[in-house]
Amino acid sequence: MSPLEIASLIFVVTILVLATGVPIAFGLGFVSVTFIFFFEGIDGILGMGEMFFGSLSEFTLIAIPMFILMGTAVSSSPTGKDLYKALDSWLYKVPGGLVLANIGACTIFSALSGSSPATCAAIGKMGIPEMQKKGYPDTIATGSIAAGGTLGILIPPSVTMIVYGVATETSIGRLFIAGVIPGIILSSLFMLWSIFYIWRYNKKNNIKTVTKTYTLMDKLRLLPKVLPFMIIVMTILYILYGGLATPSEASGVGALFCLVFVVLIYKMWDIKKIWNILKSSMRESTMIMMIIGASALFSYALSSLYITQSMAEWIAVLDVNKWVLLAIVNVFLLVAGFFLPPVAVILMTAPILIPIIISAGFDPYWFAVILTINMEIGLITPPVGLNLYVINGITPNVSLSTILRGAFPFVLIMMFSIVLFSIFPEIVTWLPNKMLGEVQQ
Amino acid sequence: MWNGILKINKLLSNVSASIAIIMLLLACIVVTEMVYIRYFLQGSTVWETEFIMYSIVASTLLGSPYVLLTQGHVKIDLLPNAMGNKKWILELISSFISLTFVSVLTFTSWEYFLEAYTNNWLTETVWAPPLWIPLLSLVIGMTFLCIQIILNICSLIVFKKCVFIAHEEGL
Repeated sequence: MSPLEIASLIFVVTILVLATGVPIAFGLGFVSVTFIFFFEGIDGILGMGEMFFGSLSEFTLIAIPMFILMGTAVSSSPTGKDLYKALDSWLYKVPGGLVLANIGACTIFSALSGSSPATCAAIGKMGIPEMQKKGYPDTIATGSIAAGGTLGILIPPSVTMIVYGVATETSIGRLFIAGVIPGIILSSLFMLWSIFYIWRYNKKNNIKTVTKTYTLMDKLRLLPKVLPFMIIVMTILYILYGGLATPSEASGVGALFCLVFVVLIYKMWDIKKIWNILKSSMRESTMIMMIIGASALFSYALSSLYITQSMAEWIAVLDVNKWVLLAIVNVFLLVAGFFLPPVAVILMTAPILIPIIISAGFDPYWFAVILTINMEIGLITPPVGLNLYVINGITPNVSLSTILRGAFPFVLIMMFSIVLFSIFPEIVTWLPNKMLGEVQQ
Repeated sequence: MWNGILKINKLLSNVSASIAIIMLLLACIVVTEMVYIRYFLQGSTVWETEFIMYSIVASTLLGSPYVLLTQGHVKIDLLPNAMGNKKWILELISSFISLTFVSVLTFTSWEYFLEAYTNNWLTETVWAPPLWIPLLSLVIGMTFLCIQIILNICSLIVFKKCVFIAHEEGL
């Protein structure tokens, strides 16, 4: 069998195996073990234990459980609610101010948590009922949070970016910086659309914007609760951008401080609550780390069966236009993102896609952003759009189809941003190049 | 008898998960200590990097049986959910798939562990602790995982019901 035939076979078998509902980590491990066994015999699989252990024993990976812990600590406290209230008190005069406060809170919260569903849940729990109470249509109330939540994996720290960095051996600090401007642009586009939507809705239904007033005292009252977390965000960003410490180190310190702040500010003295934060973090990080370990075996299988190399050569021989290639890769990622969580998509496809993308002359850091936005789209589109289900869980009174209708314009905005960043890649690469110098290819 | 076995399995998973949680917290504290010594006191750190790394590996491997028990491993469940009361058939197939991988991993892990133990291998750092200590988490975690999948297969064949529980029921 030629490597390309084996590749097609692996592709089909992987889809069939994952469709049975097997945990993704074990499914990937199974495909790797069986293919290596059939093509290389028993000797090929004897080193599996060592390889699995070795792939997890990487200091860079520490950032994943640490940022998860940081996000879980903040999510399980009322920080999300306070953040949103604080923003609302400053933005209430703008039409659709409440939606803006929500998207803004999602954006800031993304910088505290590397996970999209966590961002969605933390802001949505308070934000959606509040918007419904104030008469905002369900579509925009749920859609804006679903979309705002996806920023969690684009704005640093992002667990997805760390996984990309590990899988492609690129600098995680640089990846984080690359996500900043696209994250702010996306967030602004989300806000612009919301202002337009609310303005049109109000005009059509002849609704006057609800007037309420906040005194300066009201505005300042919430700041002490929100500020410590903002300081943590700023400190982590400063450490990363200044190159003072590695992302792994920054993540550990950030996690401990967030945990301590949550306990002190919200007086969470109950040991059980702290234990639950640690337990949820352990659960999520174990899930991701197991996929990382299994993916290492998967990419070993792909490379020892010469699939990675052959695919890159095959694409080179095809000699397609690089933009056509990028379009195909985008469609592929979008479809994969519809069914698989971001971490799994990145780990499974990176060994094959990255050599192709780099040889086509694209910047791997720019591609990380494009890939992440693709994954964000997957988070708010069926059938496995995690954010949709998180929102559905928070607001059982809103149907899934309403949430979908609300999220759809945001999907179009994200697609537009992919086109925008493809035409003007400097939007993504400018900040990392400016702060860390150009990448030596 | 069967319920007793399930209870022991749950207990083992919970104990293992509790150690995983403590390792996670320890790693977090040691990272902070390391940063403090390295950047504020300008001192050198010897054991911290490796300790943190192996704590996280141990947290992952020891936590894995609990995560499986409480159905925390992410999966695509569109097809199983569409199967209605025939769901257990797919669950059985997926359990065999899991078992194939996990049993290979368990077997090769034990081999690696025993080799490291008998030859008294050390890790390749200045600190150089015996390698079998971090490897202990690999063999324990994978063995528990293996046992749990086998129990699930037995339960699916006999009772057409899986042994996994909701997140809230654990720990």
